[in-house]
Amino acid sequence: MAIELQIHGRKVTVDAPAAMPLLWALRDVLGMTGTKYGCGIGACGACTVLVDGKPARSCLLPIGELQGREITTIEGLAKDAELHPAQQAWVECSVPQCGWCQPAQVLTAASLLAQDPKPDAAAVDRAMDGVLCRCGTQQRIRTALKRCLGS
Amino acid sequence: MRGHIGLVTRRQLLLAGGLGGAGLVLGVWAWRKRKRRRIVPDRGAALAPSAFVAVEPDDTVRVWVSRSEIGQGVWTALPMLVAEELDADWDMVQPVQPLADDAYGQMGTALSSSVRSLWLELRTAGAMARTMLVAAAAEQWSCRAEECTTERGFVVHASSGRRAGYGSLVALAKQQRAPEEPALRARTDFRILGTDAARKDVRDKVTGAARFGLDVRLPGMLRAVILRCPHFGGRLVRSDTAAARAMAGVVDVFDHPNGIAVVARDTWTAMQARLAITAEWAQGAGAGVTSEGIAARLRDAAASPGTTVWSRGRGAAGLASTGTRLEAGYALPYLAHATMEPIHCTAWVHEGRCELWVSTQSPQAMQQAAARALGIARDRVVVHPMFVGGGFGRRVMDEEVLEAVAIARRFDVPVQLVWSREDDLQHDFYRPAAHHRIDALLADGTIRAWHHRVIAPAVVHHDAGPDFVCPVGAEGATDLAYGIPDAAVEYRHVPTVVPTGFWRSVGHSHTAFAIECFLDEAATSLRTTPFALRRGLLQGQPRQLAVLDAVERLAARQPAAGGTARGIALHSSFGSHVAMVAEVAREARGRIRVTRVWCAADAGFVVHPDLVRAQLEGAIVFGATAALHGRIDIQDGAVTNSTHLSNPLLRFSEAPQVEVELLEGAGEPGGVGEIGVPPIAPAIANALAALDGARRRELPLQPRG
Repeated sequence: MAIELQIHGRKVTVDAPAAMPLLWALRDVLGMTGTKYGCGIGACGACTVLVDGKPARSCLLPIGELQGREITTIEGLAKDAELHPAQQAWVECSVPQCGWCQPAQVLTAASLLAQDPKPDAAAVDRAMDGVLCRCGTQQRIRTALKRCLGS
Repeated sequence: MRGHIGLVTRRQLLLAGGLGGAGLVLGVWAWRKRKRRRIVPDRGAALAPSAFVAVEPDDTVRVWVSRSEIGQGVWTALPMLVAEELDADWDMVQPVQPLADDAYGQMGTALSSSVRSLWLELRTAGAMARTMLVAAAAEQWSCRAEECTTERGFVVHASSGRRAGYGSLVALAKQQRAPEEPALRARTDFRILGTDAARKDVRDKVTGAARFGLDVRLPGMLRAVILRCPHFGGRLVRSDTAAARAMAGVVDVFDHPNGIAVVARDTWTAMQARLAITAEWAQGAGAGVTSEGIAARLRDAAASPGTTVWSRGRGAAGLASTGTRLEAGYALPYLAHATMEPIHCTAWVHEGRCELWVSTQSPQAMQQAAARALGIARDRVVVHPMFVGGGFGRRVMDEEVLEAVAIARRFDVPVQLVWSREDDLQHDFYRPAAHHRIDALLADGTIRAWHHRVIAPAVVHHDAGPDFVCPVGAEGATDLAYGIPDAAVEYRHVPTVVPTGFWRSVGHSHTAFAIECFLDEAATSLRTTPFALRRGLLQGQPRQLAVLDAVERLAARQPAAGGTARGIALHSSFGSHVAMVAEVAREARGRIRVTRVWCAADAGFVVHPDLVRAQLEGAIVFGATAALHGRIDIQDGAVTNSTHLSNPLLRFSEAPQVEVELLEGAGEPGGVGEIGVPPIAPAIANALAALDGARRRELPLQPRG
């Protein structure tokens, strides 16, 4: 069945069952592979996208429940060729190793910065704890976030 | 159809037996040397004296990266080797991912060997191209080559002020003789090597543009999952697949050697259909097998002798001298790799050919595996290696390739096989569980004799006969750096049904834990400090001594916080030396927090310091995850903790603050990717003992719940 989603401000029609999670609609139907599969049960955070600006686990979000919601994936974070400040900080601090979890890390950080321009350490921990990184880039993520905050 | 190690053949593994990990490395290197005179693939108009480099007429320098980018930075470090000797403009250097091809020599990414094994070959490739470009300029300018120099992508004739960009010289340079053994730069002249050159992979990894194996999308591609027998050594008895077949979007459901394969139009439908299958399994050889039972078998086996794999002086006989005997046993669990990018392989079998798209650490072995499975020649198999979303040794195995090929040969379109996280954690090739027993003689304020027994199921050959000696089973215990005059190491394999494999730092990941914890126990018995005991035993080992002193100084600069304690550990692996101090604190409900870690490393000559720091920071989190949480629970031959909820990884807020000091590296580059893993677990355990006086002899350390 045809379901209409709003991705990066554009309406996109997806021919898929309403119960299909957004993760698979993005990856398998729309070919948008920047959003990563990690566990399928919302435990690792690799599939994080922003829904109305807030981080959400796309592996648990049926597309039938997303009408009228604005979806942002990693592909839509940079405006034209200009990187988002979080992406820029990630590059400058050489954060990624393998890189699989980094779209989710960057989106989570971008959302945090948009909602709380001066998060304290506890707020950073709360926001970032939901996305696992097996390579161990946590310290560099912290440094990159500090750079975004200008401290 | 459990797969086998893809990186080296069983025969090579056995041949390397007497040499351990170093032997494997040497084996790989010898293979490369024999193949040195390779055919250079056609590079069109470019100057390409080697398969690894092409200088294009538009000034672009392309470098073929023959090792897998698994996050360790080969897409940056390997092109740097070429760029240095070519005197290239780094901004004009573009890495290229080759297909599996013997033109690039051995392409396996393992043993922390990428930079070490290509250190000379890639620099030589760059120097050859530079020599030919200079010769071309000299011909054009009718001067002697010796009068010309190079400057970041230009040949320069200083006395006449002439300059020519490399690209403009390519056509003429192709006519020049390729030098066999061009002179390489003196290290004091390095301009790129030793710097934090801009990484080539990082931008695509923050924009979503990076394409990993699981991101491959091909026209008409189907998706597959396998319902697997949960019991190692078990089998399918009967199943009902009618409901799965009836689901919209399901293409086929059929038996497969590893269970029941489901093929569908998309991944989600394949996974939903898998849930709709009812299957009855026989436990087979897995019946009654538990992780506790295996641990007990290993512990019991430690009571009797194994095969002596290394000794010094009088060996174990030294224990009979006068002094105080100290003995302790250490137990470590099975561990999973849990790469963040799930295991997968896309295969397209058509017209007597096969194409594979896969995140792999060994493209040629995957090519070989597919060719063998399909009964076709190796050159009929095209392997597209992709960015790898975490390797850690898991992706040298060919299991998922064999599975994907067996499924895809039934279709004329590509099929992408995906393992779920549960598949991954239940059907990994685990770091073997291990039991260590160390018996030592303490006298004259130090350790005089050492007898170390390593009991661990063999890597890969988990079901080999009991006399099998795993060549990497006791690595890190043999060649003990500490100057104990009489020492011996025994190894014994215990056959089980649980599959095993290479896990970042392999044998070192458990031998270092036993050795470094025992040293602290000995220090307590001898009423000395862990630092002083190690220092005394490392006289004559200047590199180990230097990292030990460095880490002590580094940590001492930061005052201890109340309620914390520190522990030290040191280990050498893959040609490098690493010492760490871990600081721990106890939190509510008896939970442990690793607050800070200091690390000093001598990894020889360092190509890219920031990448080395990143690998050490990452290895500390990887190793601390294992030390605090890592375990595989097995009941009736089936893994029971198969999600990140029951098999947790260290979270953002749990990651320690890490400070790394790299020592001025002498000599050739050492390994980097694995060297930070071995010391962190014993440093944490030693810190905990310092905190409350209780020795930890079993991993993991974090209380459950």
